[in-house]
Amino acid sequence: MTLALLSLGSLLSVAGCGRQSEGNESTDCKGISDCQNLSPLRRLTNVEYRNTLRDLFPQVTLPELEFLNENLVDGFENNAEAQNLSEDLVTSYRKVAFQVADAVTAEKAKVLPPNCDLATQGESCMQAFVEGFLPKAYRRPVSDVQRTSLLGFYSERASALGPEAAFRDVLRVVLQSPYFIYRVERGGSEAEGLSPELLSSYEIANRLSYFLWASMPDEALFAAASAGGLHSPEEREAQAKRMLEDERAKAMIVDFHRQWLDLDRILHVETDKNREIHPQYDGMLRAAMREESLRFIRHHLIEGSGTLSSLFLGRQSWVNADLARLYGVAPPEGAPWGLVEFDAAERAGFLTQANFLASRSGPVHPSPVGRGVFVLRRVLCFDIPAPPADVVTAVRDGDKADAAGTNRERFEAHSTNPRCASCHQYIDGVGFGFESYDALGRHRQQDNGRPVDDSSELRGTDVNGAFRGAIELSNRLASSPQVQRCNTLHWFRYAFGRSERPGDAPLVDALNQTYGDAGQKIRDLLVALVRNDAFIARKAPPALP
Amino acid sequence: MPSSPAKLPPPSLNPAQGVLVLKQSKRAEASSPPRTPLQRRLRGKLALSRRAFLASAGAVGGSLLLPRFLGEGTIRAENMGRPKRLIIFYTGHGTVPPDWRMPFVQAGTEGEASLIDIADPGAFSPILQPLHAYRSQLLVLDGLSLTTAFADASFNEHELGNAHALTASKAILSRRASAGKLSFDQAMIPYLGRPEQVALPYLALGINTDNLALYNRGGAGGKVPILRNPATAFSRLFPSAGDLNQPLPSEVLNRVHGEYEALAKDLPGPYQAQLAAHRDLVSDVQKRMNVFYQLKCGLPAATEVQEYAERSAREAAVLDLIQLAVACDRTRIISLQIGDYSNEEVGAPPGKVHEDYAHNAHLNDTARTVMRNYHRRNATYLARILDRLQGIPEEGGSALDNSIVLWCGELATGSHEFANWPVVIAGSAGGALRTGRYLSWAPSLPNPKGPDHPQGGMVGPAHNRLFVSLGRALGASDMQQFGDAEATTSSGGTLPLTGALDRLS
Repeated sequence: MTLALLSLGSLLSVAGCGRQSEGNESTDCKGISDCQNLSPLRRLTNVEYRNTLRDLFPQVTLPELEFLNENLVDGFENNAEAQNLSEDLVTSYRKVAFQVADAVTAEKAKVLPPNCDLATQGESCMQAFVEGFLPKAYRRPVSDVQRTSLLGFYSERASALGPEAAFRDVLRVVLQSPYFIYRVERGGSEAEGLSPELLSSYEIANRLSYFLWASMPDEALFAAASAGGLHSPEEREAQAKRMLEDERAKAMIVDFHRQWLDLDRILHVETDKNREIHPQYDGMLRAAMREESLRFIRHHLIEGSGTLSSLFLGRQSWVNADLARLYGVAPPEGAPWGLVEFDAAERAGFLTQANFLASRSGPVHPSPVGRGVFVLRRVLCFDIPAPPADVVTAVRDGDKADAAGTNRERFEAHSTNPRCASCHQYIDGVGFGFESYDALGRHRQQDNGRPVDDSSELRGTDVNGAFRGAIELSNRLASSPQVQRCNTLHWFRYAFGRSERPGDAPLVDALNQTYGDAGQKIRDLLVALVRNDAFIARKAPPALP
Repeated sequence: MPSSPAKLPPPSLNPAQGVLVLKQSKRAEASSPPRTPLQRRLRGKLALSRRAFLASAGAVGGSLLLPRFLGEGTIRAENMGRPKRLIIFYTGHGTVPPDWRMPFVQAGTEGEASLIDIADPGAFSPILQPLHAYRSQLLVLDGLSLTTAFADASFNEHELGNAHALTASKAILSRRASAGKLSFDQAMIPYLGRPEQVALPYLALGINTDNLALYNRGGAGGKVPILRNPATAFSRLFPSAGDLNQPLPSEVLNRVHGEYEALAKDLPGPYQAQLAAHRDLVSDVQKRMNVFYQLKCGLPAATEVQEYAERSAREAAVLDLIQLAVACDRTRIISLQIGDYSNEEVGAPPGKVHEDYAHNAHLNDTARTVMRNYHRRNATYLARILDRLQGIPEEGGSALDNSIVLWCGELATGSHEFANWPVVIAGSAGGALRTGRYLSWAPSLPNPKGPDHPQGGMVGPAHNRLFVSLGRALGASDMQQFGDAEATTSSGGTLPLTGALDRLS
């Protein structure tokens, strides 16, 4: 779903492009034929910023940092078109820069070159430090002018405040610099025989590392950039395969799913429950539900088969004592968390996990609509319109003294009223299949004294038909090409940090084909993404056909 | 509840002692008589003078955050003049019209009545009764319309209302509804929150809400973060002792500014504007910091402020925060977003207000009673906020006189309506508004949704115009329009939404 919002950048590109530059005018496209559809200028996301700091200062203990909330598009935090600029944001960067500079200065011995004493050898010390540090911090080669200028700043500050304070100020500047906060893309330099329509080698290295690691490049990747080979798909593939073995890639894959599957929602006010009826639903249980999902992802997608279908079919998961009680399984022994294999008739895959089930429930009862809408939007990539304006949409989620009837019966109007049925046949068609799980995700066979009916029908998909229960539904979805393509599309959005445009369709199709041919192994999709020419192009297809 | 606006006790606290924070257990009652076990403990711990402690303990409402020491000007900003302020009190589910409206004018007609001479609180509607003591400073507006919301596409009305209520502009609709343009509080920053004027451009607080503004404020879909933890809000307002001693690092920000300037020139057009905007914000942050470190009130460093679990404790802390923020002139734009009460808190059986009662107030007595309690509770809390503002003396009377406090929300009624959007204003922005009146408007303009709409084929004035009036009252004297300039109707015509609202000043 494309955000119906033109970024400031695209507005300007429409306004002033193609004219020959006189110098530094804002219509200057600096060497490329026109500035239309340039990939958006992107800032590091909060996750990327933290990871980058961790990798830039590997031995320093960094404090807890606070960032602004980000705008999500399709669940993703890294959609560059949705990134906003504000005084709040710049203030938050200042604060973070100051905090980190303090922490690094306190442990400066771990960061400065060996045998470097700032107090006695300030200038030469800083020279050596800046030489090694600045290109890493800015994630690209740094000119002599930049280096000299920063060292000049150090000297000024040192004569005013002393060497240590000056060192801290240098860090404060670097961490607020546009080269640090933004992923600057200027394209290949013609002087080096590269096309300005393509990214430069270092820019490709940055795209690789921020895609696969959500962090800065490592030494090997910088070296590959320096050697100039990253324009070749084979070289990128080799790097990607190397990088996928790293823990950072594993963390990225889990984090992708955190965003795609909305795994944080369980912690939000929206999923609060009635404390009288669900007293065990406290902060600890919610955190555990989230933790289980993250561990599940890692278990199946990193340590296990690494295929998309394991998300829907995986019967093993990790539980702690609270979750074990909820699920009705034996609690873990010897450690707070333990691996469990669920009864095949009761639980398999992400859609039968407490996190999903409880975060798509009301305060008392489960929400077939919530569950249905999630599956249709995030798993099948349907665009669900809002209900009509004059319909009161809330269903009473009262206490036990409610009318005798099952949860399913409370939603009768959805089927009997033709205005509702037009959409709800799809939504509830999915959602009713989850009725065997209550508002906390516990399995149940009775609802308000009556047997649960979780038979339903999938409609509008490529795997239509009647089904019974979430296990059968999950099996159906696991076999659906539509689901596969939807997953491909989400990876595309994440990799490129933007919503898809009509011109992206051939690429998404090709990626999807590769994904299917590879047996839906996620790693193969990621390599295919990286190999593609679009990955090193500075432009995206036009926004409008 | 006080029957008249409270005067705060004179300060008896030596400012050099700093801000004293009472670290209390959840069950502590600060307003209970002295010499309870808790107070004995606290007195020992914090070495308060007896007078100071009693002064704080005996005051209105029972502060749990700070002792009451603001009053006669000892610890407050110097040379304040008559600054104007905007305070937004944002609550949910609209209102229950028969329990909100007052009989002084006929609903649905163009009318006006004075509130000043209504001596009997019982003559006020049940929901507005808690505000009776402030009637001479109130404007109650009956009959405005969220016209831009009517003109927008069909969408969940809570979401749509939240996107429209303070922006009066077409929303950005995808999975959620987001603000199309800046909300009114953000739009007032150039007038009330400039970097060289106040330490914080705005202060956004919330009680029992999520951590992003429900009413989307940042424009173009950007949501402004709100502070729900009083401790965090306090530290945002007041720098700690360490910070105060730090030299202002203007050299750092100057250099950062230079980097953005240099890089912007070096990049293609579409990126330049973004980096130039960032560069300008760096400069704003620099100016802001200069003001931030000049603490205008004699209020030195804070010690610890704790996080409060109980809602009542947070409500009390927020009152203190607003009072301090205004008295020390740390910001002139404050918004407070009030989340749902639990059913128990409004006298209903367990459950959730929204699902159980909010939609049905017009259908059954139980729901109506519950929602009446709900909205009355909000009014009660608002009265406590007004108490704090009234208790800060300034040129022209009090901080309340110089402010505009705007009470509104995302809906007109709990059943998702946009017509007859209830608004209560307190304060006159230094006399720019003529308060002490109840105003009503007749539905005399076409409903963009068409002549057959269940909420009426005709509606009252568009709420855009209210913001034009308020904007002008707060110093934006040239304001001609706010939000969208026009709305498209279902028949394809356009309705102008420009100009001020009549009869407010």
